Amino acid sequence: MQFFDNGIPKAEKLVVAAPDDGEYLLLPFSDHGLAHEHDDFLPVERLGRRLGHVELLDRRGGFHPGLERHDGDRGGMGDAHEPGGGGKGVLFIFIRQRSRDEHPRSVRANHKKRGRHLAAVAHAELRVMFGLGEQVVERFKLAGRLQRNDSGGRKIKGQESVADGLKPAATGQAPYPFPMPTTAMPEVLPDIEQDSQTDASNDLDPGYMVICWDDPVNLMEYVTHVFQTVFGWERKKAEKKMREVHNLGKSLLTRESLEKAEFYVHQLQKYNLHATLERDTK
Amino acid sequence: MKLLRGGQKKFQFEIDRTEKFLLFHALKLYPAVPASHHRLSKDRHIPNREENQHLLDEALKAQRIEQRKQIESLLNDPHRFVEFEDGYRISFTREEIEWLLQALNDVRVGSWIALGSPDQQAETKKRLAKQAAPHVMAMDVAGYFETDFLHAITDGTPPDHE
Repeated sequence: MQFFDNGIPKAEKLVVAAPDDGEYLLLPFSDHGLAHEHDDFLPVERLGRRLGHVELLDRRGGFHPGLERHDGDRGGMGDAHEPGGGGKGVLFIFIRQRSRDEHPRSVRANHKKRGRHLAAVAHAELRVMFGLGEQVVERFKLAGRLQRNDSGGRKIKGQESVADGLKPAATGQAPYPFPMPTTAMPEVLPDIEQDSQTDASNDLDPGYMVICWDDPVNLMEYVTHVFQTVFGWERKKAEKKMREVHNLGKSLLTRESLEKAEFYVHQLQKYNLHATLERDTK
Repeated sequence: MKLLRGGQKKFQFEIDRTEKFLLFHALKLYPAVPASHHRLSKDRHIPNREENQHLLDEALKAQRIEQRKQIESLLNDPHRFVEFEDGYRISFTREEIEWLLQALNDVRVGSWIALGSPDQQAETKKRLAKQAAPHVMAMDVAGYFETDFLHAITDGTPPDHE
């Protein structure tokens, strides 16, 4: 295993069997959060809040004996993963981004209420959100079938658990230099409050408008291309919207919930278009 | 730059030596748009506006770092440019063209910002002082290659650079 200068292990590429109904992320953790780009950590609780609709499938890891705890560190992943009372190390977690339909109604409502999870829309955004390079976060498309077991956890067919499918022996990788604790039960990461009753008003999202503003620098052809790429529009529609921007100074591209509007604005700004979101007051 | 072959996934171009120099020159300027240039909203009443703005800035910053690496590795690949008599042949995937378009447009927009975000091109030319010349050149060079790449992935017809 290779380490960064700050002692955080680099993610290893593990080839595993894969479910056909989702992708998985393999994230190296410190004992109190996601290993950040530099000597910084993202606490687990914040990860849950940021990602929103994420299901934690499994986690597995341990603590490297050669690494020392940072001053001011606080444990966050549970005692089961802290042999000897703690220490700096790594946890690999296996998460799956739920599709919108899978969220419990109370979870959906709660997220709408909070208007959060900027990055929950696309996997690609996860990497960007956390400022992590390829060497820290790897995306894995697993190749196999996912089944729900009796206890509600997820299993890969023919294997005991997702994490078992990642055992070094199964992947041809060198063994980890630290002990692997037993797998945790699946759980939902986000800090969701349980709503006993559904609040109907939350389902009536006020809506946010994604607006693209005219500027004299972006080429018309380029703007059309970006609209096609980001929204998946046909050329004719993309051109119409581009002309609106050009002739009227701005164009309302779409009305969405806050988190989706934020996602689209980010995508458009990635291409350096002048885009913002505004509350729909109508 | 001339499109030799285009398909759904891969595009082969012929590029002369001067064009290669200019393309590299423009891409070396990436990223040119100042960090925190983009605003999430003009509306002050958006929930968690400050925090989300911060997240957006972080996300864009990380994306640029990542893209910079991708472009560097793409351009430094010794097998990428195949030399022949009048220049080079080079192939890009559609995804690579997407990176290049983003990077080139970043250089174009960044140069425009460096010029003071002038309203019209005519105004840019009026203000063409010695210090402004590199930005004007970068804007035009980036736009030149953007147009070529866009035509390659849309209809395959050569653009009219006039």
